Amino acid sequence: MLRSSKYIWLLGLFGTASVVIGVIWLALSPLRVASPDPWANVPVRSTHVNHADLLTGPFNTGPEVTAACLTCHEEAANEVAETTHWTWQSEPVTVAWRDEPVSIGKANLINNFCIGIQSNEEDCTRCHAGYGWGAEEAFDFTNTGNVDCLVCHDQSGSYVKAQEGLPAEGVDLVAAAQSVGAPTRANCGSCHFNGGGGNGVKHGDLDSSLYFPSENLDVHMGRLDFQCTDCHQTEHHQIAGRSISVSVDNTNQIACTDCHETTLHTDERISAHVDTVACQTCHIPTVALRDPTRILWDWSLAGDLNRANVPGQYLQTRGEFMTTLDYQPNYTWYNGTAQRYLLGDPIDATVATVLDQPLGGIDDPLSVIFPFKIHNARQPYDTVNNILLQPTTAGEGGYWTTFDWNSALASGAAAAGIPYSGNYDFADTQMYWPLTHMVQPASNALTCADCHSDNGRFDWQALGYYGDPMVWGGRSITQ
Amino acid sequence: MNTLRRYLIPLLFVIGSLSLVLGFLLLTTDVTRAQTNPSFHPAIRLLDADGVQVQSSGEPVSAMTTCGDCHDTAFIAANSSHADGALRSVRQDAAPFTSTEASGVETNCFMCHLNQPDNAARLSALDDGQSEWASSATLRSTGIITDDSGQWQWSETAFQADGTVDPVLLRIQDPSDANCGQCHGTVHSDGQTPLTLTEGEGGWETLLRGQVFSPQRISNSALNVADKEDLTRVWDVHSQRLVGCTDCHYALNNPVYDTTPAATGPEHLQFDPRRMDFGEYLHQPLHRLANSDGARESGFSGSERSCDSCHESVNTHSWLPYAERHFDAVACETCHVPTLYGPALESINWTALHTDGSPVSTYRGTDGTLIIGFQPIELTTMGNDGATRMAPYNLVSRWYWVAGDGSPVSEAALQAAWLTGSDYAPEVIAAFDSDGDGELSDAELMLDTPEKTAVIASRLREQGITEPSIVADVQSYAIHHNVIGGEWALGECTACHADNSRVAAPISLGPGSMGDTDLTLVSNDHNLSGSLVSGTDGQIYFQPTLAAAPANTPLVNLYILGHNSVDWINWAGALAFLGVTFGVSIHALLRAVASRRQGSHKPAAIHQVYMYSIYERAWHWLQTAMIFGLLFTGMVIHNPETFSMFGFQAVVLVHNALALVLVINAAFALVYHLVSGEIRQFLPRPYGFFDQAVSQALYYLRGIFRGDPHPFDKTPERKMNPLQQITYLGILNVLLPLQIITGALMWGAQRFPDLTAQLGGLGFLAPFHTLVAWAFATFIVMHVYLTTTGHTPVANIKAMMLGWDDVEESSAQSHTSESGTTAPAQEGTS
Repeated sequence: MLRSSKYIWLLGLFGTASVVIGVIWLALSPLRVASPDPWANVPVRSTHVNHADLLTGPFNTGPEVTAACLTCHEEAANEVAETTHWTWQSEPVTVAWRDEPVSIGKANLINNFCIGIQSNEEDCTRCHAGYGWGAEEAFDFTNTGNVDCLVCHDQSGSYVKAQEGLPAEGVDLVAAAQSVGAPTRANCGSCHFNGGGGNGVKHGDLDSSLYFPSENLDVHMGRLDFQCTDCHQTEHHQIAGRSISVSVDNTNQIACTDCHETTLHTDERISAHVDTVACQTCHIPTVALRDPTRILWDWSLAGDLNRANVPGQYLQTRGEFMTTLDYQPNYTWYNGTAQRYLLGDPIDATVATVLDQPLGGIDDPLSVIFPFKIHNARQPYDTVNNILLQPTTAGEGGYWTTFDWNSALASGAAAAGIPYSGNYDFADTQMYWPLTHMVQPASNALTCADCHSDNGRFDWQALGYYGDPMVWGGRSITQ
Repeated sequence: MNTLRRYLIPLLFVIGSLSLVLGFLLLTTDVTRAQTNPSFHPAIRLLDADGVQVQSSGEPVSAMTTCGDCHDTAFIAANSSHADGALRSVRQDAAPFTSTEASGVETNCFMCHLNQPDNAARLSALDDGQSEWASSATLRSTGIITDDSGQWQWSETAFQADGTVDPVLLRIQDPSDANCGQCHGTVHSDGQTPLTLTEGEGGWETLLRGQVFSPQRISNSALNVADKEDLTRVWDVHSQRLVGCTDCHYALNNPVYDTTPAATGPEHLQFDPRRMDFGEYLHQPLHRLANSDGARESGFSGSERSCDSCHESVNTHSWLPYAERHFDAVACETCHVPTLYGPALESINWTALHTDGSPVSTYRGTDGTLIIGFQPIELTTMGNDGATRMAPYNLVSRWYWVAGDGSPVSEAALQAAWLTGSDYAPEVIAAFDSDGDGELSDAELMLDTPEKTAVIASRLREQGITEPSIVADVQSYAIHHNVIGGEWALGECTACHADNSRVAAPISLGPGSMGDTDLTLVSNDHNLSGSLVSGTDGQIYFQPTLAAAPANTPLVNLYILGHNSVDWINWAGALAFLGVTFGVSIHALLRAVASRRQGSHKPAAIHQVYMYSIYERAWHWLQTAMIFGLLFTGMVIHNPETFSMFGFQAVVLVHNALALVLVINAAFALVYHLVSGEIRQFLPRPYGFFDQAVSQALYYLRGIFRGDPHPFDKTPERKMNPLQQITYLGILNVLLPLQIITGALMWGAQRFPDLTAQLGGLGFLAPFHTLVAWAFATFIVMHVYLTTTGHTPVANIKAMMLGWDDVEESSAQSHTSESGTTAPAQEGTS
C-alpha cells in the first residue's frame, strides 16, 4: 500500500538527484579529456636498505667486497656476467650486411677515438665492471667472483677504478661497500661521461654537466631529477638501451614513446612530422651545451715531440683534436640499426670510412630523420691489406711510450688477429653517435624555420627529397 | 749553357705547374660563381635614364629603363602604391605635415627587389637633394657604386665583360620580409641572433601597432620582457612557419595566388585553365599588393583575403563552444593577437620637439623598467564578408600645431620655433626648463601652462604662421600581425565573458590636454563610442562602451554573456524578488503573531486524501531541481566574476543540459495533463471566477490571521484555488514558454543565427531571459511561502512529497477519504 510508504520521498529524492547528477555528468563530458600519464612507465624508486651495518669488512681487495655482496645477493654476479658490461661482447646476432651472425662489442671492435682495447686492456678495463682484466693473460669470464659491484652501486663517491679495473690505490673499500645503493647518474657517468678518454669527448650528449644539470640542459635529469635507470630500466642487471657503436641489432631500444604519447602535439603540422622525424631531432637542438665534445682526432699528427701539448688541441701521444661547444647535430635517416666496421674489413682509403653507418633511408618506412654527432678521425691503416689497424698504445711497448707506429701496429695486429704488412698510413674515418640525451624543455625545441628555410639544418636532397618537403611534399610512405 | 739547361727545365716546369694551378683556380672560381648565384634572375645591365650603360655614362641608374628592358615598368609604376621613389617610413598619420603629393622621384625597384638594399644611403641621397642618385645609392651596399669622396662612382670591377653586373653582387629577388621591414616595421628573420630594438626605429607597423615580425621566441630575444622565461611563444606564428610578407601581400595577378572566385566563374567550371602565364605576369606584374589599401582602391577582384582564406577555422575550433557564433562576432585576431610586446606608440606629440627634430612620444607596454606588453583595445570593424566583428586596435593620440586655415604647421616652421641650430632656442629653454639644468627632459617638454603655449605660439607666428593652435585627435590602427597559435591564444572564456573583461579594458592615451586643447575623440576611421576618463596617474584613458562601430556601418548588436547586462532589468528583478520576499516575511510574521494570540488553529477533523499521483510528484520535484539548477547556473553565467570558482564553459554546458531536461519534463507533463484531463485543474472556471479569486485573496489578507478555514477545499479533482490557477496559467503559458523560447534562441545564435538576429539578437533576448528568470525566482518565493498556509506549515510540502494530503473537514464540501483515494490512486499507480 502506497499510503504506508512513508519514505517514498527518499526514493523521489534519490531519483531526482540521480537525474541532476547524471545530466551534469553528461553535460561536462566534453570537458573531460583523458590525458595519459607519462609517469606510468617510470619506475617507483624504493628506498635502498642501508648496508652500513651489514658490510663491516675489513676488505682488502675488490673481490672480497663482491664475495660479501654475494652472500646475500647470490645470483647477482651470475646476472652481471650475462651482461655486456661484463662480456664487452654481444651474443651472435644476425644482420643483413653479413652472412654469418656477428658477435661484437668493445672487446673486438675498433673505434676512431683510442681505436681499440685489444693489447691495451690494462688501461681500457678501468671501465670494465670487473677486476683483473689485463693485457698479459686472457681474462676468465667465468670467474664471476671478479664482478665489480661497487662501480655501479657505490654511493660514497670515493670509489675509483685503476688499471685492469682494480680499485685505485687508497680507496676505502669498507666505506664504499657500506654506502651501496641503486645506481645514480654519478655511477653511470663515471664511465659513460668519460668515453673516448675524457669528459664529454665521445658522445656530446653525455658529460659531467649532467651530474648537476639545469632543466635547460636536460629536462628529464634537470627538471625532474631523473636517474639513468629511470629510462635505462634494469631487471636482473640487464640494463635497457644500446648504442650503434658497439651493438647493431634493433633490440633492447629505449624510445621516448615508452612514456610519451606520439599524439602529444596539438598542432597538426607538428603531428605530421612524427612518422618521419625522431623526437630527438626537434627536442635536442644542440648538445655539448656546457662541456665541449670532440669532433676530430687526427692520429697522423701524433708523435711530434717538438710540438707543445695543449689539452683539447694537441697531445704528442694522441695527435691533434678539435672540440666544440653547442654542437649542432647532423641528421640522417635511421631505422635503429647500423652497419658496423668489423676488424679486417677492407676500406677504401680515398674516402672516409664510416665505422658505424646508421641504416635507413627515405624509402624505409621504419626510418626517421635522427640527430647524430659525427666524429671524424685519421687513424692508421695497412696500405697493403687496406684494413684499419689496431695499435698497441698503452703499456710499456705501446705507442704512447715508444712513439713507434710500426711496432705498435704490429703488436696490436697480433693481439687482434689481423694481418699487418708493415706498411701503414692514415685514413679518414667517421663515427655516428646517436643523440638522445640532453633533451631540452619543449620551449627550446626546434621550430619550423630551423629546418624549413633557405639556411635550414637539413640538406633535403642528401636526405632523398626533391627539395624542402614543406613546398615539395613529404615522403608518401609511412609505417 | 749547361747551367741554363739545368735551370731552364725546372723553371719551365714551375711555370707550367703555376699556370695549371692558376687556370684551375680561375676555372673553379667561375664555377663557384655560377653555383653561388642564388637568384633565378639573370644578370642585368644597369642603364641610365637615356638607356646608356652606367659604367660608360657615369650617370645614375634608372630603374625604369634598366628593369624596363624586360618588365613593363611604366605599367608597374602606374599601378603601385610604392611607385614614389622618395617614400619614407613615416606616414602622414604619424607626422601630419608629411606631404602626400608625389615627389617626382623615379620608382626605385631595388629597394624591394635587391637582396640587401642600402636604405640609409638612399635616404641620405634624398636628404642631400641628390634624389636622382637615390636608386643608385640603394646599390651602395653591393659595392657596385661608391660615394667615397662625396662623388657617386660606379665600380668598374663589378661589371662583367658583356656589360652586365656580376649577379653575385647584384642579387635581384622576390621581396623578402627584410625588404618590407625597411619601412614597414621590425623584421627579424634570424632565429639565432637575439632580437633587439632601438627607440624610434622599426618602421611604422611597429611604432603604430606594436607589431614585430619575427620567428624568434620572445624568450630568446634580447628584450627586457617581464617573465621572459615563460614567454616561449614566438613573435609571429606566420613568420615562424615561414609565411612571409609576400605570401599574404602578393602581386594581385601573380598566377600562383590566382584565386578566381568560384562565384564569378561559369557554373560548369571549377578551374579555369586559361589563366595568366608566368611570362605575361613577369612582364606586367600588378604591383597592387593583396590586403593593402592600394589593392582595395584598385578594385581588382580577390584583392582581399582574410584569415579564413587560408585557414579552415571550423576544423580547429571544435573545442570552442558556440564556435560559429564566435566567428560571427569576433575577429580571429581578437583571440590570436591577445598581447603585443613591441613598442607601440601611445601618444605622439608634435607640439614639442626633441633637438633632433623628433616628437615627444610615449609608448605602451612597459612598466617603466621592463616590457610587459599591452592588450590592444577591441573595436568593431566590418570584415570582408560584410559582418561586423570585434577586432583588436591600437589607439594613438596625436597632437600638432595647425595654422589658422587648419593646415598643419610645417616641420621646418616647427623646428625653427623650437630650435636654434641643433639646440633649443634660449627663449624656449627659459620658458620650459623648470628644474634649471639647462636641458629639457620629456617631462619638461609639455605645453602644460598657457605661458609655455604662448611662447611657442608666438615663435610660430614669427615664422609666419597665422593663428597657430593645437589640435588633437585619436587614431586607430587595426592589428593583424603578431598572430599566435592556439596554445597562446585567448582560450579562457572569462577573458571576455566577465564584467571587467578585456572588452571593456580602458586604454591609455597619454596626456589629456596640451595648451588649452583637450583630447577629443576624433578618429580617422572609427566612431569611437566610449568616454575619456582621467586616470589617477594623470593620463587620460579611453573607456570603450562595447560596439564602437566603424564609420558608416550599422551599430551591431553585440551582447557578451557575463560581460553585458541591462541595469534596469537587474534592478527591477531584484526589487520584485526582494519585495516579495519582504512581503511574505511580513505576512508570515503576522500569521505567527495571530496564531499565538488565538492559539493554534484546530481543524474540525482531518482526513487523508491521496492528492498527488506519483508521476505528478516526480514531475514536480524534477522540475524543481531543474529550475533551481537553471537559476543558479544562470546567475553564474550572468556574473562569472562573482562565481569564479565555476568554470564558465562548464556552467554553460550544464545550464543547457538542465534546460533540455526541463523542456522534456515539461513536454511529458503537458502530454500527461492533456491525456489524463488533469489539465482542467489549471483552467479557471469562468463562472464566478472573479468572486472566488477575491474571496481567496481576502482569505490571505484577512481570514488567515483569524484562523478562518480556507475558502476552497483542496480535493484531488480540484487541487488549486482560483489564485493558483491564474498564477500557474501565467507561469505555464507565458513565463515558461518565453524562457524556453528566449533560451533556445540564444543557444541558436550558433545554429540559426539569422532567426536569432531577426528576433532581436542576443542584445534583446539575453536581457529578456534574465528578466523572466527574475520573475521565476520571485514566483518561487511566493509559491514556497504559500505552501506553508496549510493546516500546518509543512503539510502541503509533505503532501507533494508523499502524495497523501491531510485535508480538513469543512462545511463547504465533504469528501470521504475513500472517495478521495480511489481515482487518483489508480492514476498514480498506472
